[in-house]
Amino acid sequence: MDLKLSGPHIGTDDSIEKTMWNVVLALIPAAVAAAVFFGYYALFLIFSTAVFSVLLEYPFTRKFPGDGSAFVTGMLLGMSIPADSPFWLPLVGAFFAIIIAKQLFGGLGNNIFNPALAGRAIIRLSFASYFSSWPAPFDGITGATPLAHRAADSSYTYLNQNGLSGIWNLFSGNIPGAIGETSALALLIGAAFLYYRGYIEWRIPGAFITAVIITSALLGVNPVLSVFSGAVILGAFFMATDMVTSPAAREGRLFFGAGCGALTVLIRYFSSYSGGVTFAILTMNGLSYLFDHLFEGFHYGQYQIRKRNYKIVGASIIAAVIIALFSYFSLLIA
Amino acid sequence: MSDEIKHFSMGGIEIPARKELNTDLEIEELPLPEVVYLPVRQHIGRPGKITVKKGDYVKRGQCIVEEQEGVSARLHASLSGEILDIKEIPDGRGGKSEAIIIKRDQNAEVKRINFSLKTKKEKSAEEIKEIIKNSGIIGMGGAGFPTHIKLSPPADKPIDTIIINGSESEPYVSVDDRTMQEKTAKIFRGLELIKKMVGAKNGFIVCEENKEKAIKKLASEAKKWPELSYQVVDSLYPHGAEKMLIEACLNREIPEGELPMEVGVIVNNVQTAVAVAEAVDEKQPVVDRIVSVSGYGIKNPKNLIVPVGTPIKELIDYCGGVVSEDSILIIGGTMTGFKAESTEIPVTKTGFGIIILSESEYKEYESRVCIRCAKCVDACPVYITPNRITDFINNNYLEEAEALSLASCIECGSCAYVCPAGRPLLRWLREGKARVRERNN
Repeated sequence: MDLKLSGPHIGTDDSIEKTMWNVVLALIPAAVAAAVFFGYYALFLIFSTAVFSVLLEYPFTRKFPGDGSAFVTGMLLGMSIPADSPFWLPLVGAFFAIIIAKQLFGGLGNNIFNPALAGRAIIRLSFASYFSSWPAPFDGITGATPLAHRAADSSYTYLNQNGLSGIWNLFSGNIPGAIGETSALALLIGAAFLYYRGYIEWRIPGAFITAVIITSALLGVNPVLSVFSGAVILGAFFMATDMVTSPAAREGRLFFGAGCGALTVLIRYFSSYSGGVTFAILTMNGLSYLFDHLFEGFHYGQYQIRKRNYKIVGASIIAAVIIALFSYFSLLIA
Repeated sequence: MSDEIKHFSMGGIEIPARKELNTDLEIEELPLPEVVYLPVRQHIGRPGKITVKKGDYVKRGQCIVEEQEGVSARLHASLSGEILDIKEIPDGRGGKSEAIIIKRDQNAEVKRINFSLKTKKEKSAEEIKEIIKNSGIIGMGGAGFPTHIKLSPPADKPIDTIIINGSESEPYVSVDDRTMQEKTAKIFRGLELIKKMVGAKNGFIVCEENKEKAIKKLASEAKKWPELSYQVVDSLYPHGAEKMLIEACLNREIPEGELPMEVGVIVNNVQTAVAVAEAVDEKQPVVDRIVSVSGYGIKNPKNLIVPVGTPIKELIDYCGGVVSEDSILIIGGTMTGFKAESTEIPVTKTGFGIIILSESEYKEYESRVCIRCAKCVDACPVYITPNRITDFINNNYLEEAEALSLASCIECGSCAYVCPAGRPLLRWLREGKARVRERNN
């Protein structure tokens, strides 16, 4: 049998380029929102980083404008910095993102860590002073993000002070924060577009946001504030769903998203950094191949194995509940 | 069965069905060719024993290859005439196979198949089995498993349901679609015979929802057969695969590495059912087969009934030839079939389609780096992970590939169809399976 003659002989007109430029399109609403809230300098930061990233990649791929992945990386990086950053800050980040995190690992498809987030993590740690205060929309007066409010005062002064309009501001993006992450509305429009085109799937963002809500509730943090402040929406729909650095297996994706969400809240709550999304996703990126292996899931025809495993899991949950109840009541009696 | 449109649980892809070319064309008879090339082995299993020699005169319908012990099937001459030669010819998959070449006798009178159902004479299960074996019937949907073996499961595997598979999910092809429209009664008759032979309780015909005319025909015919019914499934690819069909219609999952009879089901193609009806009622062995000649690269697409062994060149010429010299010739379906390098390759019992694709439609594989987008994982109907399995195969870790259920792959091609990086995943999966077979031997 000569496999060169084998099919399928037809295919979708989908390509890597198409995938990447669709992500760029999906980021446009957030860029527009950034321009509205933070002025044209924010827009300049986003696109200068994107173009610079493409130029940085040119020596490696010898293609212009390349497959679009560098443009996406640059846009995401430009969106994750404060609007009053000096112009060179994201360019330094782009250098680390494209050269160190991506091309030194072997280029698109072989990088382990999300390049945009790796670049951001490096500038976040190296130039920490630029990330300590965030300009508020419209007036440009710098202030703490709602997250920092919360970190300072666990009674959520932000929401308590602002009430319903506070929630609307959180959702629409009228809050201090990084350029592209504040407007949940604009990001969700882009995410809906990607979902409609089939470039993202519900598992990672769904598990991410569910885990954020559950972990916040367990720690006594307001879940609404957790989800709509900081980079959770941007992270869940655009960063964690980065194809290269997330697991491919179905169940692996669920665990990956859940891990990102839980770690985000834990880092925010216990560490001194206000933004936990970057480090949470980078940590989980490192685990993504392992998750592919561990959570491969069942294949067609393994019905019996599946049934047995469900029984084991069910029995252990019931046992755990019984032990917990028993110890609780014995404590009560004592 | 219920009126509900059923579907399988996970994976599957939407492909443009492209049935508009052939779905309304009546099945035509191809004028008899001058020469036919009959490959000895057209089925899965052991090749049969040739009972004729060069120079013999054979009649249409005469047995020229006898089945052997085990999994094997008969072959009948599809023309009356002299045997020119017995030699190796290209098999259309890049290899060679032995074939019997018959030159047509111009004076021989040939009766072609009629489309209506003739006399119904009741026969016992044993008689039916004997007739099926003697008529050389094999799975005519593409797999080519000898039907008399498929229909004799061991006694400890009781069969309760017979499914006749009319869900033709390959694009362009309208063979089963046309058969369901034109030979509806014969399909039901074939199902009745198979059901009787196996002793199954239920029997139904499955059709995809995008074949409205065929469904209408089935619905009106089903009223005449109180014990048989039909079922509509949605038109996701690959609904024609028997594992998917059983899952969709009966919600039963075949254990890994087992056959459908493990869950009490036998699936047969529509063509096979017709062949059974014709063999039993009309004493007609498998000498003809219906072929869709389709695609935007052919001048006049047609559905043809042709003698087995006709070179595909004859079919293409009869359909007015190709539109442009650059067009690409596919034997079988565009998803699972093979690209033909020459037009001398004969039509076999399992060859349901000849598709001529224009060059722009043809997918050239680039084999770029995997971006782990997981589209192949989401598309896979048996939910294995093609990206990881092919990585293991390409680096020669066969055990790891097998641990990820390489054997479960049904070779539908959904993964390679959706891959944005143009990776030939199906070729690699087939390569892996071939290497596993080689190692086990």
